[in-house]
Amino acid sequence: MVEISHEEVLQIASLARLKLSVEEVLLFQEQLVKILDHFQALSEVDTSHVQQRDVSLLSNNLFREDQPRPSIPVEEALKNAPKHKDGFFVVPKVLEKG
Amino acid sequence: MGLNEKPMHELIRLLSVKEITIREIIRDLYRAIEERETDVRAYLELSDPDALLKEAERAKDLPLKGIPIAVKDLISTTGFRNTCGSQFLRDFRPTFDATAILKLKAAGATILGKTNLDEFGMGSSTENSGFFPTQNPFDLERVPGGSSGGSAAAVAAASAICALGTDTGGSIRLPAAFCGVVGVKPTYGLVSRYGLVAYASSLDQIGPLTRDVRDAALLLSIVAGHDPADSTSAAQGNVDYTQGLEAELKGIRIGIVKEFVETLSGKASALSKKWQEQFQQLGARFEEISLPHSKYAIPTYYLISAAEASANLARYDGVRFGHRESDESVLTMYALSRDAGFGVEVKRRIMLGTYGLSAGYADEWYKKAQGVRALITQDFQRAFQSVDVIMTPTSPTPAFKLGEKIDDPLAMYLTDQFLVPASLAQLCAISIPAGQIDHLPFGLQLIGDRFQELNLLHAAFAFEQAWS
Repeated sequence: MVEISHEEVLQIASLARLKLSVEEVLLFQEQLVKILDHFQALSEVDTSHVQQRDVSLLSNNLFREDQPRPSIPVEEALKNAPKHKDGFFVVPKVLEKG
Repeated sequence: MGLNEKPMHELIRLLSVKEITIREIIRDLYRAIEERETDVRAYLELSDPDALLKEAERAKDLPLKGIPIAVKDLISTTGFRNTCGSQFLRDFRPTFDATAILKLKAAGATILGKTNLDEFGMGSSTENSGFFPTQNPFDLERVPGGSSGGSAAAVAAASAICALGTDTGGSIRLPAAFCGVVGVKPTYGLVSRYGLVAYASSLDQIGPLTRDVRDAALLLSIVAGHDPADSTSAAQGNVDYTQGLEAELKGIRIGIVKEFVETLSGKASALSKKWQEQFQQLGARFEEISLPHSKYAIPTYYLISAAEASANLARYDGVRFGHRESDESVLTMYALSRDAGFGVEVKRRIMLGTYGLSAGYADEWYKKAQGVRALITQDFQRAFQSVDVIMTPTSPTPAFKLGEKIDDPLAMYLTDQFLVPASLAQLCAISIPAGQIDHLPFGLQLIGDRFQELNLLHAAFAFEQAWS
């Protein structure tokens, strides 16, 4: 039986940068336990002989030449921004005046 | 029969001999949209018919002759919003075309509209759309499947001729089966993911949803191929997949999965036997194969895809695009914007993925799932030493009712049990309509080895032609 406490749900939400409502915390606590209980079946499988190279599925990356190319113009890149000013994204103040 | 009900290859032929005009095709399409769209609700955004006609007329000398295509609203397409089915991106306008869209346009396709989906592709019913659920055109009380439910429903309702969808763990094949159309999930790496909004990057693929197998082959030939903008796209795919479709099937070896057969309902099992007889009449040989780790595919898939999603969706922070709440502090802004902008299934998967990747749990969950994924892949490698393709039902049951599984995420996840093994092993697979159960469409899935799309489409085409 998987156990996840109320505090753990809040801790995961904080790692995931989600401010969950009280109802969501309760709902996810119950559902994550139910889902992970079912998923615990994986512990039956012996994966001790699986090598890291078996896990890497991609045969190989195909690299392109590292040549400069035009990128998205600043005005285009800012078009979807909730707030922008003078060619920059605006965010709440991060540093206080020292 | 309206022109909107015909497959694309037939329309191309009729246009080339000047028996019909592109104007008539567009007229019939919008007539169907007018009739069906209020019930089915497949689209999030539609082209203006006059603008579309102008564009289509400009493309008249190109191979696809301006024929309009519907596109899942997870694929960047200029001129339309790209909402990903999420309130977070309800006003987002992409600045570029996905490579698959560029290739389609270069071949002479036009874009009819953007179709509804489960938010960011996360769901099996299209009920997780941040806007509204799509209904199954065969029975409006039922789901169209998901996550490419809008694309499948539009083709089934003849309010599109064909469509693009995306498949991470069955999101093309399941709605194709539920709506009675053809859907192909290409081998991982065959189609560029550039411009496909990322959900689980080791699994996501763009693929066609069409009226028949030839159209699927035609669309796949256009969108496949290496793209310098996607380093995971393979040096494969410069192939005309429509060539050789009509060749005899004789001698093909088809695998039946022992572990799946044991779980089938009486009705699914009876239909599956008929499929087998049909293939045998075409000269196929059957062999029972074993995929011993496939029973672990659902936990493996959901742990890996949720982990990748939790990383991929970190970009939605309210700074550069999308929804933004509160200007209190940066961290509060991130957390409140994400909680307000994401739907419950997306949050659930981010929570599951973050848990499975977090310190102290990653070995037990994420790394374990990676190990089992390797074993599932090896099961398939063994099977493909003795068979050419593997046949299964696409899903255990036909379309379920709206609301039936929405409050039970685990039951919803289990819908994908025959679909996720091929996704985890990065194989190609197709779902084709093959009979009905309880008067609802039921899909046959064929799975092929990596980059064996020609084999896969050949077998599917032969079956489609013979089956009645």
